[in-house]
Amino acid sequence: MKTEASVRDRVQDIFRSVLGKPALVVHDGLAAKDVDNWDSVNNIVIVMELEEKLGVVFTTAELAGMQDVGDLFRCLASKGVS
Amino acid sequence: MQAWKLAELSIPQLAAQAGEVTPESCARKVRIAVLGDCATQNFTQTLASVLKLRGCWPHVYEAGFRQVSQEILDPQSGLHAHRPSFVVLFHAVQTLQDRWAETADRARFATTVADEIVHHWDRLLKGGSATVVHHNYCLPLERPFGNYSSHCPASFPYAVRRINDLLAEASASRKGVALVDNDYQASYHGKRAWLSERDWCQAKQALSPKFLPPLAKVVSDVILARLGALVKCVILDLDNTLWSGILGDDGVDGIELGDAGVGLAFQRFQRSIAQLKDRGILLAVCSKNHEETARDAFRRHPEMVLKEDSIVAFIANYENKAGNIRRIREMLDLGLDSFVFLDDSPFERDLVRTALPEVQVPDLPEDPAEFVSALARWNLFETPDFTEEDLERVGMYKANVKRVELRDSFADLESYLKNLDMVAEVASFDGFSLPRVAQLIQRSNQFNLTTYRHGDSSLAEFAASDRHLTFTIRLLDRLGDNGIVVCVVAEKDGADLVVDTWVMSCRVLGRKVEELTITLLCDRAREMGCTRVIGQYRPTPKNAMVADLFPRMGFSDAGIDGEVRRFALAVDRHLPASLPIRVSMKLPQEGVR
Repeated sequence: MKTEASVRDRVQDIFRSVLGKPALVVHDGLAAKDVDNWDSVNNIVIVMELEEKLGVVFTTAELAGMQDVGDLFRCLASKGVS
Repeated sequence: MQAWKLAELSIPQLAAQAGEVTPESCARKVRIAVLGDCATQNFTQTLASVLKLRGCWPHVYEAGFRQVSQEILDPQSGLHAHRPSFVVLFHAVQTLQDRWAETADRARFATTVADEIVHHWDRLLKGGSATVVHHNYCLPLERPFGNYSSHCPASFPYAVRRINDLLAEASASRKGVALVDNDYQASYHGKRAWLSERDWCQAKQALSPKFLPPLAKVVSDVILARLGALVKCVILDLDNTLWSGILGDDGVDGIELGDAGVGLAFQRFQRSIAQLKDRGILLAVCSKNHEETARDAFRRHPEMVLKEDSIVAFIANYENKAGNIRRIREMLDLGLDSFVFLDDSPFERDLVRTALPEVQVPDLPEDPAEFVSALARWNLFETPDFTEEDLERVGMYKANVKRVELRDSFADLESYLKNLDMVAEVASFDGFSLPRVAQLIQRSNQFNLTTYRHGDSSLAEFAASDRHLTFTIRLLDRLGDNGIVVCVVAEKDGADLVVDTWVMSCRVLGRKVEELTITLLCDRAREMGCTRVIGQYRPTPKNAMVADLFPRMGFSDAGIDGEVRRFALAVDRHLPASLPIRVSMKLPQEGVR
């Protein structure tokens, strides 16, 4: 079974690899404005990697509604990934 | 990195691996511009990564969002300042659909859009140095008229297909335009997933970014094919690659081929390979078998699609396959990067990849029924054109293999060459030879003294100009026609005849054609009233083999001009050696061409 810690680690790994920042620590308050190269271009790759690695699909409304990493974790939890 | 593998990596994997590539490690450099009417950043980055991993360092200019017309039509734009050798155009069907919705005159929609695009092409081609790489439109998913949409001129899908057809026709007469069959890629990977509504609505992604690596890979195929990187030969294993079973154990009657099931899968794979042969890709065999047993299967098995005489080099023995592939390479006289090796055995694949990393060795799927679609996905056999010469290639290379055997049977080179009965047909560039001339000038990398990649229009100008000497040499011998193997462009500059371009097909190296070319140059120089022939050598990463060609031909050093090394030969000092080649002149008797 996936535990919260392992999902958090996997999400963090995805952020680190897409953004090329091996020391990045994700926390609930982290948002795009806090990371210099977390732009719309990288955002779409992050979404793609999350979907592929975690086996989920986000709707257009869910993507539009997420403001920070905390929103992402709540959305994942609602899909049974926690 | 093996090119076929790039399509299987994710964007972050590509970016991470490309991050390790340095410009110095790349054999080629290329200036690229990307223009699109959708968000192109991910596409551009992925394309750049793929090119780097294929040893082609890109200098990229990316136009702003939806700046296609402005960038192309404004001579002061960043696009023109960048002076790209490739302009990649990406038009999204989603944007086109917005325009369709706002268009009243739908009957003329397709021609209007196609005309606009062709106008853009022609503007980009005007400079003569850029190649346009144009993605055709992905046919949309919606069908407002149901199945009737496909033949209803009032429907959007019909208009999109019409535009694609018009663009394909227009590109046929424009050598500088290369089409990327984007619609095919979408279909291959599944249009339902490719055209992600969400990714368009969310971020103006014309396709799901998931498919950017395979798309960027085929775009890089198109670019590299234009730069002359072409696969020319596929080397085939036999047992469990062309048929099911082990010939040595099961016998010719025991292998499975044809009928149904696994046998049919192998037969259909052979048909795919036969289509490659029909368009001029050479086939070779490299198998662990007794040669006679292996040949027997080709001769006797009634379901074999590939025939013994389709194979230009046939090696069946129990030696190391890497060594055998090196032998095939010598027999055909091609660069290692001209080869693909197909073998069902992971052991053999790994061995060849390790020993000969330039050879493309894709992982054949476990199930032979997937071979055909895998071949389509890898897109190993890209080509910028298709000429008569391509069709004659199989015969030419087969003759070449015979020549190698013949040469080995003679004690010395002189008597071998004499025995060949060579005839050189010399002619100035004309309508018949220009396509081949253009092809040689685009593709030759090794025996290419200056690597000036003159386009069609410049070549036609040289042919018509009084100041220029142009000629081709077609070499025939008693084993067959080698085709046009030499192209020369030289320009009269006062008392000098300056050799601007000299390319030769490497398959005739060592047959005294170089010496013949010099003799022809000196003769023509005299007739044009010149006293010297000036040779030029411009070094590139690939043409070191001709660095000392002019000195070897008796020229003396005449200094360096920028990146060009110059050599001189006084024409009255040139004493033509007796050559084992009879010359048949098709040059005009007078005049200076």
